Amino acid sequence: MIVKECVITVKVGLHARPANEFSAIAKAAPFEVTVGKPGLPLVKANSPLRLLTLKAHEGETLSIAFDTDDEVAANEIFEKLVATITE
Amino acid sequence: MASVRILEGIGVGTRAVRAEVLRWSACKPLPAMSKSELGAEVEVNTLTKAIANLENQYVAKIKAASDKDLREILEAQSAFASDPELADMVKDFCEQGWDAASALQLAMGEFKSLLEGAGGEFGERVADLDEIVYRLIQWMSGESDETILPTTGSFVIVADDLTPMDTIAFTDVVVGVVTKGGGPTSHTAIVCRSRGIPAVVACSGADNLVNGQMVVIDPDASQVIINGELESATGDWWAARPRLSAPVIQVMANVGSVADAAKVHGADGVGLLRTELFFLDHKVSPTRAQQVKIYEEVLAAGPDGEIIVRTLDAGSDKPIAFLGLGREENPALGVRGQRVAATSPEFFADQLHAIKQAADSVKATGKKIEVSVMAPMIATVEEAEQFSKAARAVGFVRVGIMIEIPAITQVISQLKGVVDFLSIGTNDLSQYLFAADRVNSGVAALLNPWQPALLSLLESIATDSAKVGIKVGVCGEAASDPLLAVVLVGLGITSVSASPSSVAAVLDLLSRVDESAAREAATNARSANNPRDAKAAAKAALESYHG
Repeated sequence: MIVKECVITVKVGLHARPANEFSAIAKAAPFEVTVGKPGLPLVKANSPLRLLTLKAHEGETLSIAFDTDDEVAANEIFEKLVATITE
Repeated sequence: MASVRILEGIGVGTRAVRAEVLRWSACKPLPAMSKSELGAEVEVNTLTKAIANLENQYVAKIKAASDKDLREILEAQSAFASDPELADMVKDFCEQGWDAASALQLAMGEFKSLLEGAGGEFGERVADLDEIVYRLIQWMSGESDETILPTTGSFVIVADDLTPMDTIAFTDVVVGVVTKGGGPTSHTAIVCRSRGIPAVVACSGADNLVNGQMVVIDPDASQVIINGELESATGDWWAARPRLSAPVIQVMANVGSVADAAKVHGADGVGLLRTELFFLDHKVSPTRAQQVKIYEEVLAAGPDGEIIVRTLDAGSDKPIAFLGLGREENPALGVRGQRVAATSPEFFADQLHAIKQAADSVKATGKKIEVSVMAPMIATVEEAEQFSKAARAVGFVRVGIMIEIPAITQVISQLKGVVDFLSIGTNDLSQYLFAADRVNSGVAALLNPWQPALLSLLESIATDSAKVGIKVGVCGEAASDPLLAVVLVGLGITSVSASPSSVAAVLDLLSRVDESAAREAATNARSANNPRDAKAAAKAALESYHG
């Protein structure tokens, strides 16, 4: 399991277009991706409904966990995910 | 003659329209929870088909949607409908013996319960989830989910709330919208704004509207006027009054962009030049030279006369990336406006210098402007002193502050010698005075600028300022309502600054009244017991006043 953090900088927060793109990338990943606010339970990142329930606003930090030991593969997905929630 | 009644809500748009009410058929009630008689496999299968069908519908509607905002809403809904977690949960409920419709409601209910109470943009998404459940159940029960509109005529659509699927079906016969629910950021508001359909949302009295009734939608006044005439909304009722040579007080314009500045006609200067819009898309702090260029452009495009530039009014609700403001539990009560100057002193110092430099260079081209500065969100005399000192050190002769926080209204006399003018932002002042969040539609009625308590406070601010020789203008929403502008004159306000689209109407009415007529209107409005009576009293006073 590899865990990384990033800060949301898109104005709308994690819903609407950013959440759609985020879940689509997680869905396509070859391993399970989970996400949540640091210290709180993580949810499946391939579910736009679950992402919505995080109520994650602009300026908040997200923890993203990748169920793999492949640092390179995790990084690749992480970069793509970050691009959807940052401007 | 049918009696005229007024319903209050939150206006979207500025243009008023008059048309016939057409009630949008309310969603049929969802079926009661029931256990399956067909077995889990059949139920899951039915729902899977329904979801596939709904996805196809979304694909077609997304393709047909001309508007980007609407398309994104539909794309988000489509993604929710095909959510794998939702499918898993529905399957679990079916396996517990529920039928497809019940399992769907139970599963979505879990997501809804996690969102309820969230408020704002996240809370408003509950409507998306309701819509998906409704569409799927409609399809499974074999009923059509399309609402049919007449092909000719003009109608004001009235509904409890509207979904994006509803609004996409709107044709040219829909000229106005009234909803009981929704807020300033709800889908209905977003779609109506982008399609230019005047609307009043969060209209709690919408149940009173019946098919065939003629109504005026007056978004500027946030009102639905049953049996109203357009004139009562657009202000032409005063056209018979003789026009005087000049308005009774100075009428300025609010400007937030170069485009705004260019379309201001007839205004005697700019009473509020907002600077935050220029920086919304800046990732890094603009250099002083970049700022100078921005201000030069807007000053050159705008009208002659006195130009009041407001320093950056940012906060966690109006975020500017380079200021690095964190998220706050209560942004309206947090680090915003002038309070940000303490956390980003370099930017604010640069801004004052850049405004002065731009003002000097535009003046050197021969344009007749006098530029002054004011600070937003000032709570104490000490904050006013700090800002005034900084602005005068840069070379500004006239310095002012915004009056938005009730605390500062109690110490106006102590501002003598500190500032030269005050500018009242009625929107924020109302928010703090009435303890009513500006972004919460549930308390919108308290924020009506005709609230007698607000009018009384404005009068005491004007009286206290006059005693110490400080000029006081109003640049909030209140100044864009022509009749209310008359009342402001009567309360002792010495200038108003209206939105560009309202300048002409405000200027026109203020050129047809004198101070004593305005005083009478103000006295009547201030002693009313509610906003509706206050407005009616002001109008009655003007109509019966013949100098």
